Amino acid sequence: MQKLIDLFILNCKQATLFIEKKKEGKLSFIRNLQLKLHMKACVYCRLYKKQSHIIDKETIELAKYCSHSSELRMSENKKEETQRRIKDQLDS
Amino acid sequence: MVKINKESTKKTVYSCDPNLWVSNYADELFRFAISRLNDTATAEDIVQDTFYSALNALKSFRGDCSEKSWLYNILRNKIIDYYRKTSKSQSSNTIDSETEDQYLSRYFHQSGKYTDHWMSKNGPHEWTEEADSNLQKDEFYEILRKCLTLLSPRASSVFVLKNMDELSSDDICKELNLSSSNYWVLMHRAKLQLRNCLEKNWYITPPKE
Repeated sequence: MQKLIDLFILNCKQATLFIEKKKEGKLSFIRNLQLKLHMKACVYCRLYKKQSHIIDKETIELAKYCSHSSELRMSENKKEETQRRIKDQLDS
Repeated sequence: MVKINKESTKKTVYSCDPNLWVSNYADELFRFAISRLNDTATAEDIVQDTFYSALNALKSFRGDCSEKSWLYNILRNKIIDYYRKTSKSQSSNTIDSETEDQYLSRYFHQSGKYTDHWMSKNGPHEWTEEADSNLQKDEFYEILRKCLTLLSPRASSVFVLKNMDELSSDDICKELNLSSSNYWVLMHRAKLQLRNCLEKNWYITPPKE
């Protein structure tokens, strides 16, 4: 009986992995059920799920943030070097 | 009627001037690269390399898309090449030097039973701090970028391709030559580590003096 319980009841390590898989629709019906059961009982994994979504969202925002960040620039040296080589190749 | 048909089949042909690439696109492409590579020198090299490759492939530019999106495409491929190279340099059968269990033992108790819970030290706590003002946002994204640099190159490339470039897990496995189980190990690790790093460095910081 104990073995059966170990088989069916997820621990937090498995549950957090399943949370990630679920986002990509890669969770079977049974595993989905196992996850639901775990989430009902585990306040920490509920927090993890929430935070995992925040991290995904903020990572997209980070890319946008970088693309608007005017202080992020290629160094002038590198630009000059690149421009020179482009010109050389076009002239040759 | 004929006229409408003509209009609808008429295609825009985009022009292309390599002399203006650096002044028009260098910074923009650099920002794209730096957000995905987290290293200034690497990002600069890859953008430079993008221009050189584009120059050599000028004949293949047919004007059916703008030169800008053409350059972005080349850059994207270069970044994936770079990810592929850095993940190859890591051992291929074990992921990093640590075993999976060693890694996860930082976060979870490991007796193999269903009672294996989060370790209270590295487990989730309620996040209260939110970045409201612009100044706080600068600080927050700086920390998020730092946390990303702390991931292993493989975990970081999997995470970035998924969450910034929104590729599917199947495509990422194909691009980086990963098995699906390795993909999930890496994604799981990346998430656990980022969560912990953000919590410790931003959301729950020790009270300031």
